[in-house]
Amino acid sequence: MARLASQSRGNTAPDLREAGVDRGPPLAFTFDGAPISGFDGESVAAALLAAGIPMLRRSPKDDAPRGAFCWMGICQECTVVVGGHRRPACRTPVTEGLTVVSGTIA
Amino acid sequence: MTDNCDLLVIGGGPAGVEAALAGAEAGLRVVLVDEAPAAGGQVYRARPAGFRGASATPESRDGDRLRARLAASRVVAVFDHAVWSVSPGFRVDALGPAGTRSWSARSVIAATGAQERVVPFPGWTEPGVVGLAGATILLKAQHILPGRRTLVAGCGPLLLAVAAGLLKAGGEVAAVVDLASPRDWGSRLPNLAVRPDLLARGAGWLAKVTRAGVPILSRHALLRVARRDGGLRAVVGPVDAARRPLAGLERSFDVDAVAVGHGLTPSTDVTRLLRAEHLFDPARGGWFARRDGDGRTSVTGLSVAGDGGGIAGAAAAALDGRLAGLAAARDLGALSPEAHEAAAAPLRQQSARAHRFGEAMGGLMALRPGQVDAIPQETIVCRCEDVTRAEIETAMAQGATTANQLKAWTRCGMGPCQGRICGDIAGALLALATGRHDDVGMFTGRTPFRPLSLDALAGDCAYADIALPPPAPL
Repeated sequence: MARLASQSRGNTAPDLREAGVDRGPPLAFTFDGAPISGFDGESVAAALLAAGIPMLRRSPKDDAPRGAFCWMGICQECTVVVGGHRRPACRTPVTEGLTVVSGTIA
Repeated sequence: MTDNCDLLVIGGGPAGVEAALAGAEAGLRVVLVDEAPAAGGQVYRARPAGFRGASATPESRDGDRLRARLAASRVVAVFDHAVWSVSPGFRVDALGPAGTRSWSARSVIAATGAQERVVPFPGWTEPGVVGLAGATILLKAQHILPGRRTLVAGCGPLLLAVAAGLLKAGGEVAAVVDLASPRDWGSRLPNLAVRPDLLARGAGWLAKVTRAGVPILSRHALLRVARRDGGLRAVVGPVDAARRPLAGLERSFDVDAVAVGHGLTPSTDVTRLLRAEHLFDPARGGWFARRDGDGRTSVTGLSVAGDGGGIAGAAAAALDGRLAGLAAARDLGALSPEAHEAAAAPLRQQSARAHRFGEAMGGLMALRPGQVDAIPQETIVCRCEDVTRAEIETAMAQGATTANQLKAWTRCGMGPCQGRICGDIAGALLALATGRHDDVGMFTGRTPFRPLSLDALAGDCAYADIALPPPAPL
């Protein structure tokens, strides 16, 4: 399942977080086993995007890559598996030690 | 456990908060439920409490004032809870982090707001392509850019709001691609001028975008997006007055994100589920529940307020919310007809003015047949179920004429988003062929409004807790 996490560009990922906003201490979570850093108040989808990971799952019929689209919990495109439950990543807050696995809506 | 209240308000944006406050001030026991962690809706979405140093905007200040007034009121506000069902009479069910909650309410106000329309184009399902409204949420609630270099495309006021927001947050904007022409904007100036503050805000965004040297391509459409060298290549081209693409003259931009949106559509989950009468008006976003001047729908005790009852913008939503809350107080006997009229009359005048502005914007964002007709056959329309326009056309050729027939035949609209993303476009494709939106109809409202796991629904209930009758004697 490391397939989706491998899209991370690591230290070469451009910084998408707005400069000048103090987010407090970083929180560590994992996506498909890869360590990801986020902040209190960020959604899992936003923290993954900032880590260079826009792709969160593949579509059930065409097996095509998908990621967060509406960012308000409507479209379900950002569905991931958190603690065994399917959750929209845009509505799931980052917490320390969270285990996130790329999703499916099949 | 089921709690009782007089009025339950679904949605904590400007319409819902004002409705709840008006009801509570009149003495009603009011519960407000929203799936977000704080009030404000999408327009005044709160930034996380732990973020420091982000500069305030007119929207963030309006949102902070709204949240402070709600916190100081007697309204019981329940956040982080997504309403997944409303039953007649009324019972409202919601799911939160600690499980399910339900309320019985004498009346319900659905203030569920709007969602974004994106007209499908090849590549719109690529990760990195996001809605314009989604981009505003990333910028104002997360202070994260959708990409370092973003193409902004579509129509309506969010185009400039997003482009200016991207620049302010340190991002690069490849271009702003606007379906409307300067003349489309100009013809609406008289109605937009009723809100000089918002007009000035728009002018500020335009100045910021122009100063940064961002090309603004008027009467152009985003035609397609493809993944390329780890980024996205977006191709744009001119359109005619009907917003139909013109041949040739294409330009391409290499970016790492695309923010695209073609207007807003009312969120009608609750009113569709309870089978309220609905109307279709493209200038108000499509289908919405018919309501009287105080928000009452055709279902007794059920009112709507805000963009969920037809797109008119945040200012109109706040006023209509207050009107709906006052009317609920009158209908439940908490306000005399005289007291209600005295409170409502000045609000109705302000509301009419706010609607002039909101509906001028709505007209700019109205879906044109040329946009729908331009969707290529192989393009996915229903993202959940990967249903293409060609599959929809095949079903139509075989006799599907209504939205629900199309859903049953193709699975379009049957996925976890429940047709919220594709319903408007699927209906427009059918109406292109039949010519009548009224006959096409809407996808029937169903529960749950949001995906819900059975163990969340069962909660602490174990199999052993089920009271079984004693076995029959042998």
